[in-house]
Amino acid sequence: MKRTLILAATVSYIALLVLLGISYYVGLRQVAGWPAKGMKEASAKELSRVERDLKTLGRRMDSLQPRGLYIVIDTGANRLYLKKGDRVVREAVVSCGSGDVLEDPGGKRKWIFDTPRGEFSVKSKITNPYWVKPDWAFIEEGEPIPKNPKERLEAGTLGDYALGFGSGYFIHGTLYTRLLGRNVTHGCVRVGDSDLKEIFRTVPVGAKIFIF
Amino acid sequence: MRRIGLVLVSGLVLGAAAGFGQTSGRVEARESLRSLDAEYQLARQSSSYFVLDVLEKRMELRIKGMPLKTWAIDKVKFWGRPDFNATVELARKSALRPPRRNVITPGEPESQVEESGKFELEALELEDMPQTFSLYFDTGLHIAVRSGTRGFKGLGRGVGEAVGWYVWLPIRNLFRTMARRPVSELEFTFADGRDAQAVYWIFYDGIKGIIRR
Repeated sequence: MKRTLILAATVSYIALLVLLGISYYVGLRQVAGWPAKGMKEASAKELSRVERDLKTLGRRMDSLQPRGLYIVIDTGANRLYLKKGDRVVREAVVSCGSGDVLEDPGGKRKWIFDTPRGEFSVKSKITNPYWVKPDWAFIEEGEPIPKNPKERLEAGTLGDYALGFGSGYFIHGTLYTRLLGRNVTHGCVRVGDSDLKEIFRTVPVGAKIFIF
Repeated sequence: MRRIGLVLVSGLVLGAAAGFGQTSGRVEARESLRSLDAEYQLARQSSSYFVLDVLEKRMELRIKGMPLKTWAIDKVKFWGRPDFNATVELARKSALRPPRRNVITPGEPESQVEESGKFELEALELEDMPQTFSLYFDTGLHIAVRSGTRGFKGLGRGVGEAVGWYVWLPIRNLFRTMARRPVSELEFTFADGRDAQAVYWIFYDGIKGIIRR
């Protein structure tokens, strides 16, 4: 019985080794297939054409990049970078979207408080902005949604300046400076007073904003 | 006579080397063009995309051709033949404990618990992201993302991952090759767990990218 078990274990072990050997042989043959399929070598004539195409494409890529000042926002690190070319002109600690979810008790609407990502541009610059409270602000506080638009206005909440970048999203000031560096907003980007003042002063309408 | 023979042999060796250099240069030029062309198509869009350089062990998040964030990868392993220089699209992320969004209860004040000077917020933050997870792409490519963990726990996990990579994966590849669906798998390890968390944060479903070798 003991001998049979030892024999069975040995056979299994050898079978596993053989299987592994075949597996590695097949796998290494696949890897050795570099360069990738369909990647034939170019002739000398083709090579000069390829090099010319590379230069043209490189120039086209460069033309896509913004001229002048632009803003980059890292929503995970809660950092804003004011940049010109490759150079960082100013770095600021900010607050981005909390990622929280709010559902309308009526069940018809749902909001996810993320800061949007991608390419945007500064669409408006406002001094002493008023916050026009959207429906979710009332729902979140458990208050009825007002019928009079004037009841939606709130002064001071957004700080001294705001830069709109579309769909109701702003880069604005904050009363809650101790929360800078944390994800606490409803999607807007909150900035400290001195950084906001500098951004507002230097960034023109139309400047690009890249958020990731 | 010996001198002539030596010159001939040297000439042959140098000629072969030059020929090989030219050949690999031609292949590289075509690969570069293919890669740049794929990137140009992505850069024309208004979304960010990633460029993963396997042999350089570096990954960049880019938009319009500009790097937004760069990650240095500590270790890279791959199996199979990922379609290098072509565009891939993230189909889904998978983690053992994926982060969950907080659902706000209307009318309830937001709780902020202060612990040693830091506020515990009911929010989704970078530190809530997993450090070990998988990325599945539309081409069938699977990227396993890991971060260096020290200590006994890290050792145990390391043994498990090594068995998975060096034993289970080749066997799985063999059977999948027989079914004409060979495995295409990359594994990279970050020295700093926060880098892995940042990848999880930034890589949304549908993000496109290019994998270079």
